[in-house]
Amino acid sequence: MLRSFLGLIALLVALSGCTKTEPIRIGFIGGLSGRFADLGTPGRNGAMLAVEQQNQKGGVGGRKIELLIRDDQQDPVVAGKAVQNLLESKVSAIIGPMTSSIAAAIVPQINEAGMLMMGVTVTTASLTGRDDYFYRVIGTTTFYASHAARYHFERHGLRKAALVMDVANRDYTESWANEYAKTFEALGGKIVAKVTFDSRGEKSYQNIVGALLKGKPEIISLACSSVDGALIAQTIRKVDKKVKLAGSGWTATERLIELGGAAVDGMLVEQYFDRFDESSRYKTFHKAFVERFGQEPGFAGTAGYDAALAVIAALEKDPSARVLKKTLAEMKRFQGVQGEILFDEYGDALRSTYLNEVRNGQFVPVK
Amino acid sequence: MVAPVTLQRILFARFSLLALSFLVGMMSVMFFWLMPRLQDLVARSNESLATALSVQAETYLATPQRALAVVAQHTWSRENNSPSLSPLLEALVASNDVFEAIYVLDHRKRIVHLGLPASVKNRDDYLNIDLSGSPLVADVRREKNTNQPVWSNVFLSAVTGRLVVAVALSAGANTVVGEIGLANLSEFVRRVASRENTTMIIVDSRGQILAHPDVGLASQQLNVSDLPLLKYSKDSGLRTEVMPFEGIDVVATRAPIAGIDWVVLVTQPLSVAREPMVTTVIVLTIVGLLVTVLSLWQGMVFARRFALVFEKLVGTAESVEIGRYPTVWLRSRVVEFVRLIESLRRMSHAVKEREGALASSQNELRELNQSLEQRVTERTAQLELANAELQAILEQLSQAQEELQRADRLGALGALVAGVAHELNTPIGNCLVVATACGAKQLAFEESMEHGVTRSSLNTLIEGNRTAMELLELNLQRAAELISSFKQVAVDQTTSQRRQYFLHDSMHEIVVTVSPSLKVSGCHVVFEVSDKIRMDGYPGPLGQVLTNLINNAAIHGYAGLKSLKPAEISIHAQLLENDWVELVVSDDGAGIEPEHIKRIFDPFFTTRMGRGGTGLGLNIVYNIVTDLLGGNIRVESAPGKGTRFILQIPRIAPLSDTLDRAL
Repeated sequence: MLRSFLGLIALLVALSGCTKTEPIRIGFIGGLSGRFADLGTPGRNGAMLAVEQQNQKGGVGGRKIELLIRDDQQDPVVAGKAVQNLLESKVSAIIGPMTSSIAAAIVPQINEAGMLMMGVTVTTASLTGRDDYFYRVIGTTTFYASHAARYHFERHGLRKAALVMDVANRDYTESWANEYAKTFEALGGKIVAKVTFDSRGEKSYQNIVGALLKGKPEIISLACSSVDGALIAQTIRKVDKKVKLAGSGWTATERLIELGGAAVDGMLVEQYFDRFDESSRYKTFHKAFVERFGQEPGFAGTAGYDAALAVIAALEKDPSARVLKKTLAEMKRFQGVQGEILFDEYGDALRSTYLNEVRNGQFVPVK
Repeated sequence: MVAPVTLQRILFARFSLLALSFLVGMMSVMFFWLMPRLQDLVARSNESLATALSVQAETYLATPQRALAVVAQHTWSRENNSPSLSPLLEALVASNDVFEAIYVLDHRKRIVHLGLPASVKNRDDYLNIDLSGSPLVADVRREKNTNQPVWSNVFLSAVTGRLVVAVALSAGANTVVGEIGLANLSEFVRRVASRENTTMIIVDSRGQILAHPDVGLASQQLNVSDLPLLKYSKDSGLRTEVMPFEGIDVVATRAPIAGIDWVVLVTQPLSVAREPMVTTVIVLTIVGLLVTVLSLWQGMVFARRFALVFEKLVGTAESVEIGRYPTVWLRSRVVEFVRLIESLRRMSHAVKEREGALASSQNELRELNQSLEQRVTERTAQLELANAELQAILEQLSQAQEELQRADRLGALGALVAGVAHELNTPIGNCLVVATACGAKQLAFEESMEHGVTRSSLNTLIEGNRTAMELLELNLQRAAELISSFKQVAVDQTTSQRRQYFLHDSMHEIVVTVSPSLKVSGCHVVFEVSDKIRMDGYPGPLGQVLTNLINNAAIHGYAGLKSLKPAEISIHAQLLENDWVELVVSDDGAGIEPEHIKRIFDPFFTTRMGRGGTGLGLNIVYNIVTDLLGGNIRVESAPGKGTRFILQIPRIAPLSDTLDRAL
């Protein structure tokens, strides 16, 4: 009698107490608010999509993946705190950040902790060639900027260029601008103006544009966010309808077209991914992303997705966080959305660059 | 056979069953009736909250919409080249804590009038910028004909560089746009959903959060379109579900906002929403368990008490069984128990009384038994004494019988001798007469010889001698024959030797022997026996049997019977099929009285007591036939009709050691 009663209780306890396996935690860090959010949010969305898809497949080794999302607000101090918070949450890896400046600020922190960080859209050259815990799925700007400069010089015959840089992401913009200038000048071109501004503070687009146009450039290349890029373009077009516009990879997000309107028409932009990829892998990803978020993934979304895929692939090989770097170093290559991504010995991905032009509110590939 | 169970166990089991049934019943009601209702209640309460909040949101958004409508009206009535509306818009933004920016787009979607918060510098930068690429413009273009306000999804504002939603109104070719910062909306939802633990979220048509009590989260453009609740079509009205959200399980209700393609999501942590339910369940469970435990305990106590009463009664009954009658009886308030105890008490009393009566009667019986034994002993002694006396008498009797038998045999011998003497008397007398006559004639002749012998006298003497000789020879022969017969009988009678003999010869000799004595009583024997029957046995005893039977017939059958017809005793013998011999001795005499027939073979039974009978004759016959000869004898007789003795004996007599005793 008593035994059966106890049995009943045990059954109830057993029914209620279904134990959950501890999930694998992955951190995400990126600028999710403010004017840099157009990079951060798609990046985060890409990572989220990868994690959600993996969890639908049953997670990693039967364990669900939990994505801990932290907003760095494009502020090194906030980012440092966020990383600390993620380390305390015992994440296996961190995906992010999205911008080079933040990456530069927190890489020492993760190296010290031995925590693998998979950069998403960090392209600064200053982190290149280091054997550390920082990996990234997009190569350095060296390659992109020089490619763009050569194209502008050779294909469009442009000889006088003006550059504008947002110091809020100095690590990227400076690196990009310097590389651009180096290549352009090496080819025989001339940099007529190099204008810097800080998007975080007071700025007058009219003043920036005035400074840019002073040297009568044939092309103005923008190394800034899409919002600033669009507004600078709008301001330029108010006074100069002719000058050719070009944008760095950072600038060339979906927002550029939304905010730039007719002003960005004809703008030459570099892309960190092949927007017109016809491969079924990319199309599948693109469809899933749009369905899930109601937005284009853009290069940030694609890169965020790739970064998460790389981390998940490594975790599937060996879920131990401590040896994740070693695992990645051994793997070297993994299947990204747009073909195989190959890490060099320093954990930097080697990828192609794609040049687009904005035409009628669309990115169009150029030869 | 089912093993017996104790009352205590049965009672306890029943109580437990009852208690458990109650518990199960209560739990079932709780789980299958109460819980769904309470859950429904939770859902309904969350839904009513969501409805209220969505109405509030509508109201909140209606205000700027109306303000914008005024601007639109104003814009409509004016031409583009009229003085700038910007100061008006500035004032509107400043006076309103909802809008972050209000601007008017011309037909080319360029900003022509712009109102910004005072904090924004360089506002000329934003005039004339082209917003044709903005998704909002695309929406407005799509909704152009309806003239309805169009609410955008979240987008990055070109003029403020912040995440905003916007409401747009067509005003002719122009479009009036008011941008609302997500921070403002978030502040609103934080304020209205002030109830603790209730979270109100507004998401745009893509599922992106545009208002969240946590402003930071709202600005992160989190897309929650993967929530099942957001996958319903926009017209599906109120929907409530339990789902994991932001790390915890929540009760969530989606409510549409009238006129806007947004959705209000009101969530409460499940633990909070279900708190009253959980409390109810816990309280009910505790009460249920308490009642169960109480019933079980009560059942146990009750069962034990009952069992104890029965145990005691059993003890009482057992002590009655072994004869210890209790003086103190159990007391109970239960009527049935009282009756049971009372009846037990009465039973015990009755048993005790009966036991006393039984004991006293047993005592009497024991005494009676003892005296009986004594009397039996006495009687036995007396009987033994009488027996001994009888034994002695019997022995004397037996002795007397033997003596008598011997005397009888001697008597028979005497009679035989007398018979023989009588038989011999005639021939010998004849011889004596002849010898005397012959002697006289001799003397006469001798006298005549002195006178001379005459021829005639000599002839007479010789003739006379011859006749005498003939007579002597005849009579002596007859005597010799008699003696020879007698000798044989005598030998047979004295020597009961077993030998083979012909029945006819043996019987003939007997008949010859007894014939002389029979003549005295005028009887004669008719003898019809086959001369082919060859016997193996004892001719002597058989002869005596025959002699006795013949004598018996002569003495009893014909004695004193002065009949005219000749007294005839017939003897028949024949061989039976089974190699036995049947011998019948019959007479036509007086017969035997019926009352005498039964005792005819008994020793000393005689009708001629004191007149020469010993009463042993037939007894001897019986003994010889049955014992020595191994046969049987029976008598058929009736008064006046003669008597038949029928003997049946085996042709070959059995070997016997009873010969001596029989004789």
